[in-house]
Amino acid sequence: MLSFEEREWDSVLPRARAAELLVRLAEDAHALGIEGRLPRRVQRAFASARTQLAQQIQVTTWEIDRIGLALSKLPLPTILLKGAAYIAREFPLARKRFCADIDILVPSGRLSEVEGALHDAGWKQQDQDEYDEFYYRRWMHELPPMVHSLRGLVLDVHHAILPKTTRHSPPTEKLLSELWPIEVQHGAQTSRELYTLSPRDMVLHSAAHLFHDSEPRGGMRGLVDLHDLLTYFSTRERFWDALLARAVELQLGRSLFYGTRYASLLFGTPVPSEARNILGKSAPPAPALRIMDSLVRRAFVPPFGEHPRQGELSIRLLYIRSHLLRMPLHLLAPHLLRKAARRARQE
Amino acid sequence: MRVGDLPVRTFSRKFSTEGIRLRFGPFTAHIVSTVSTVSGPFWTLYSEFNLSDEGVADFHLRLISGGAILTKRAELFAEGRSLFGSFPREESFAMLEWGMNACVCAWAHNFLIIHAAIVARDNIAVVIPGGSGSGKSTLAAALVAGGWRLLSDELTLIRPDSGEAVPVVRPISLKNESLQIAARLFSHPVFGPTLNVRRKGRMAHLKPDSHSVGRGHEPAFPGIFVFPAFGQDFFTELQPLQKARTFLLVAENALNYGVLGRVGFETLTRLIDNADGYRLQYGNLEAAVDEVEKLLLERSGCQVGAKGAA
Repeated sequence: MLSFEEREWDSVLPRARAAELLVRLAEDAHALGIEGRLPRRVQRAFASARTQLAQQIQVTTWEIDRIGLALSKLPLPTILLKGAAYIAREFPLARKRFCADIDILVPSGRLSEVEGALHDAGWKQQDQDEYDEFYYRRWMHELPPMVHSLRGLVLDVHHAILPKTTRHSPPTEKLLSELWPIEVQHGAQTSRELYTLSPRDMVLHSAAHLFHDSEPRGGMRGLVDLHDLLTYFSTRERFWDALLARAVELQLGRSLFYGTRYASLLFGTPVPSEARNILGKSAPPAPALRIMDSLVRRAFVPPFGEHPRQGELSIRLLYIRSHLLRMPLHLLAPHLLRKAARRARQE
Repeated sequence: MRVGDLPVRTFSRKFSTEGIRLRFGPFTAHIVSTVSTVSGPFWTLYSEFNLSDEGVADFHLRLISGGAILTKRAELFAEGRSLFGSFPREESFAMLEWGMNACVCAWAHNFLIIHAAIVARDNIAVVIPGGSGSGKSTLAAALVAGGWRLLSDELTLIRPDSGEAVPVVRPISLKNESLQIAARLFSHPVFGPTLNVRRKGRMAHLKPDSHSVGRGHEPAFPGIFVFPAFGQDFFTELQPLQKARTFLLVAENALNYGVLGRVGFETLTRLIDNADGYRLQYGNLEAAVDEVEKLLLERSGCQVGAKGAA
């Protein structure tokens, strides 16, 4: 960072913001103690981002506590996913990324109990039209987003990590079989049962999410998450063996192949050569891989500069691909048509 | 160099190609606009603003015309992201104004940001919080017409370390009757494009006066908070507010009070400790201006007194 000229910062700053990675640069600069040597406006942008992050961590921590309390009466595990999990576990990566909403996972048959308990504790569904409501409940892997009436954070309650319609949606029961309890430091609160996925399942979830997500624009950040998780866990003994075995078991080999491929291509994520060989067996046929490579390269690099819509086509294609993975075509076609019609009406 | 130092044609060409780096308050925005109708009004309303020669800008905005020729739409991007989706092209100037505000609100948590107009005289600032329809911008415009210095008509920025209000002078956004009032108050008012906004009525931006723009780097200390309530048939009535009440009302209008956490609380506490709060109900603008003038006199009077005692 110290070698950047002002003009270079002028293109780094907006790109980093667009990719939601500015706060990561800010934290790194802070950790290295070099903030003071950066241009004044960069220092200010970094300070602003760090202020925002500190608030998000505080607010999320409190919200997790409240969710734990609201669900403590149910004889069920509450599993924190993604950003909330990283914050609750105090992973180093939690200090380098924004976490805009909270995702939790609950056993699939118990969704209505959970919804009821959250309702009683003050969470409400956000306004949405009937079709959205139907779409969420019938086909998706989560309840329509909820918000607590006194606080602003959005809560997504999932009953699976991928939509029900996905061909290889990993059964939630399998994920529940190896949960990782969160040790709560404050003695008074130990009655609340909060968990995260196991380390290997966290990695698989992160990888699966990358390419099943209908918002590939956030892809870069998702890939950075995967990189951070892999780097963090790879110091554990036999981690890769366990991860590869689990990928086979949950039928997420293809997702893990893609995830590790692009993470190591873009960020040099260390993937042991043995693991690389095994994952290679989950690769798609060569022509398909070439197409995917070029789509990812274009869609993941955030659009900026003279062509804000650059990468749009690749993003559209990945969007359609993500939907194809989630829904069979006979369900997907009417869904996308409906969404397109609504967008047209709004304009 | 100032915007107006460039001939309008040179400015327009620059605006639509490499873009300009506009200084406003403590910020620099890199702005590119390919919507040709925007550059004229922009050049007029911002003629006395400085252009920056620094290499790095705080925010990067790009206004592009898009859509089919028949639909005549445009879209505004900040840091590569669409801010409002696509909108009718004639709304472009207003959207760019809102876009600049949006950037400050999203990425300038170095300040406590209060949704309020702020004007100053003798470096004592009067902060006028209030939502749409409260008469905030109209009252601020009337004070500016009466010789007060404008710091902002929308965003009051407070530095947490010093408690000073930092100016972000910009064109004043006015609606409906306020437009006629402003046209009457100022001797040579200059307005940007008039816009008919659904449900809100007519709106336009008024060029800020040279005095305010010229002193756009001088901070001021907020001494008075005035919460206006305008109604056609209201009597003019000034009502002092308790500190605690003032605190809560300002906190409600502070856009990033929650984001700043403890710093926000401490900044606001100090701010309210050193200022007085009033509710000002008014139906007659001149009478409201008189009330604010009186408040300032009282305040500067007691400061002179304090100095005399010391």
